[in-house]
Amino acid sequence: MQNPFRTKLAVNIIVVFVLALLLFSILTSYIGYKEFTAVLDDRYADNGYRIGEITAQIVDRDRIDQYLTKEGRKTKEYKAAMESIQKLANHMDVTFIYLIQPDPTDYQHITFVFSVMNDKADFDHFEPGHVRETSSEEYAQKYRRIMENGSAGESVFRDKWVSDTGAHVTAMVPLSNSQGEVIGIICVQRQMDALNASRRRFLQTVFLTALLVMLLISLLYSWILNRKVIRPIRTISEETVRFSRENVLPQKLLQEKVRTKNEVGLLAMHVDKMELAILQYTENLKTLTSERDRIETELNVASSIQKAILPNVFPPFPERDEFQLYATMNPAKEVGGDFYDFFFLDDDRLALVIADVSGKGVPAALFMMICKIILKNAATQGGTPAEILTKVNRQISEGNQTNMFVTAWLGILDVTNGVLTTANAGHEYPAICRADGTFELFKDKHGFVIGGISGMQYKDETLTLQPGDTLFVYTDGVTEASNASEELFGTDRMVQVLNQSPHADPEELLDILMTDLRTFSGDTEQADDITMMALQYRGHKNHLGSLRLEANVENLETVTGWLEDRMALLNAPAKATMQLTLAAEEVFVNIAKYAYAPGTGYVILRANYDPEENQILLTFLDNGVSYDPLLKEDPDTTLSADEREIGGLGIFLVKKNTDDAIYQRVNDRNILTLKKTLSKAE
Amino acid sequence: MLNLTAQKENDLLTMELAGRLDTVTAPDLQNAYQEESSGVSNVVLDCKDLTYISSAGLRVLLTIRKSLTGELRMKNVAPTVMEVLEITGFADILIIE
Repeated sequence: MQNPFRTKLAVNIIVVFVLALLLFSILTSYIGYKEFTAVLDDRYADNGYRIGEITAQIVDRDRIDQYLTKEGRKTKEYKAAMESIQKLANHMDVTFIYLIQPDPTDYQHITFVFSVMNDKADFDHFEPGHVRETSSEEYAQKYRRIMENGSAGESVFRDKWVSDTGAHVTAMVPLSNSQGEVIGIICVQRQMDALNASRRRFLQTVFLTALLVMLLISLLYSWILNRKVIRPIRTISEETVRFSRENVLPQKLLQEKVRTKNEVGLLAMHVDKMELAILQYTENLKTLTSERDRIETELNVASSIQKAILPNVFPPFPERDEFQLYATMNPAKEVGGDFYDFFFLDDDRLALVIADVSGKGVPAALFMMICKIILKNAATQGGTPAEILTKVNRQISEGNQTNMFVTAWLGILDVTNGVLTTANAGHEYPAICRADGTFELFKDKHGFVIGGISGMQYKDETLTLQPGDTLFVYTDGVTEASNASEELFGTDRMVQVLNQSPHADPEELLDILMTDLRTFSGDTEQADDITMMALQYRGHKNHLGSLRLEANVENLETVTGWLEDRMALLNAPAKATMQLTLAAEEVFVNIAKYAYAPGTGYVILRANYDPEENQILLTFLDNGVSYDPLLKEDPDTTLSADEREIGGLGIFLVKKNTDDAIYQRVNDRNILTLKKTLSKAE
Repeated sequence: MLNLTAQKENDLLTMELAGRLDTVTAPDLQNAYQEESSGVSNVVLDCKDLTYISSAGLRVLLTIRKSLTGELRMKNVAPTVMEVLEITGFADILIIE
């Protein structure tokens, strides 16, 4: 695998550093060389000037012209002068001392007047009068400066690669006659080979020293860099890789491994802190997630519990044909504060409750549970709705530290005559639809909400439901449902929607209203629990009565006596009476013996008359063990006396003596209905 | 309610049944028979005033029948009772006069 980060930081830094040092040492060498050279050059030039000036003193300046003649050179003075100059050259270690007269027209030619050479030098010297070309333009310019511009001295340096006589300096001074006219130039040439050699040595020494120092500094620098930066960074890098793989704190913190006090140390410390923070954050996140899951699960369970605690099997009383009942509760959150309830206080009186706890969610749900239980408890203990609400209010107000309250509507319907007694604790008005009319609000007298003030009194109201009348109760979640424009659904609209199909059965009615409510609200979030309950009264004319008694064989005569009375009401034929009584005995005895064994319980008998079929319907209800007697196999009635088993004939007799028998198991109840036609081919 | 009279003559026991032979009264018949049953091989039940019989009554009848070496005869059976006996096949295992 190719590592895209293979370029090493240390190499980068060292290379840049070395280059910088190299540049620096070159620069210092160059500058040092320049300074050193300039000083030496000046010295050499100065030295040359002096020798030139001394030479000028030696020569006879007014007789220069004679030096160019043979006679002139034969003079004692000339020879003495040349000898002095020769000595001077030898003594002062100069190569050449010579006098020239440049061609003043363009200085491109010079004429030697004399030239003296050091004894040690082995160059050719020029005879007086020798003419040669000026070596370079630089010479020409300097000649001109001396000859024309009154310069007191000029010098020309020639390196060995431009001169065939080796590296040298030529110092030039003017030679003036006694009238002050410049008549020639005395040139002093001095070799610079030795000087240049020492210059090279200097340069080499400086450069090599710089290189050595640079090497040492580089080594030291890379050592420091490696120790203080590179290695710590690598350690940090390895640690981050390890952490991302293992997700746990290291055995040894980076702060302990990386002990540098620089920014890398700071980075190490911060990486430690970051790892710790990441772990804490991860841990928090895990806790949060599991906590949220747990709460969600609990809320779901709570929601199921709440749904289960509200009666939710419809029809709730299938054996009852006096009314139809349907109710729904849609909480805004998982759980809600609304509730409905219905239950029989005795065989004929049905209690109906709808209530709305202040607030919503879990607190409301908890309070709702309490209210539901207390309300049902109080109702079953007896009293009118107002008395019940008074009692409930007292119980809930006591020690109500949370200041929660509940609005409740309680109605008790006598299903035998349709008389409905209601009391209202701050709840919405019920809507009632008369069989031949439309829904209207029933403006009963409101009492104060429950749980607010202890000792509140409530008032009973009584009305009579006629067959076909429908009662509709609801919570403010219906009327206060809002749409995107923040308009409320409202009571008027609710009544209007109810009246679109006033004679729909309760389930249909609630469905229509709920659909309209959802259409109205659109995407607006449901703000409050929506709860509705509807009851349609069917009347009681076919009900012959009911009987509730302990399921005990001793009560058999009560049962048969009661049944014979019902049959007498219908003027039923004696045979039908006898047959139904026989069937009833068998069923009752069966329940008495087995339903609650080994304990005891109650059984309810209900007799209804179906005029269309001219049938009597006798229903037995018990809360005993689930048992469908109709599944029992019929005995073989063709066997001889000895072969026959004693018993097992009861259910057979039930089937044989009735026209139909239907078994249902509803709400943990066994419901067995026997049907007996009264005028069957009599 | 069931009214019972019993009369024993050698190995023949004659019992008169009046009223209802149901779950409540069947044990009465059972007990009355038990009291008189020693040495009895034939039983005659006079059902002239018996208006009603349920499976509990039939159960006693079958018990009596099974304990006898001789016959169980029923006489003067009312139609409603007869119907029950017929439905249950008892009309075939008892002798109905």
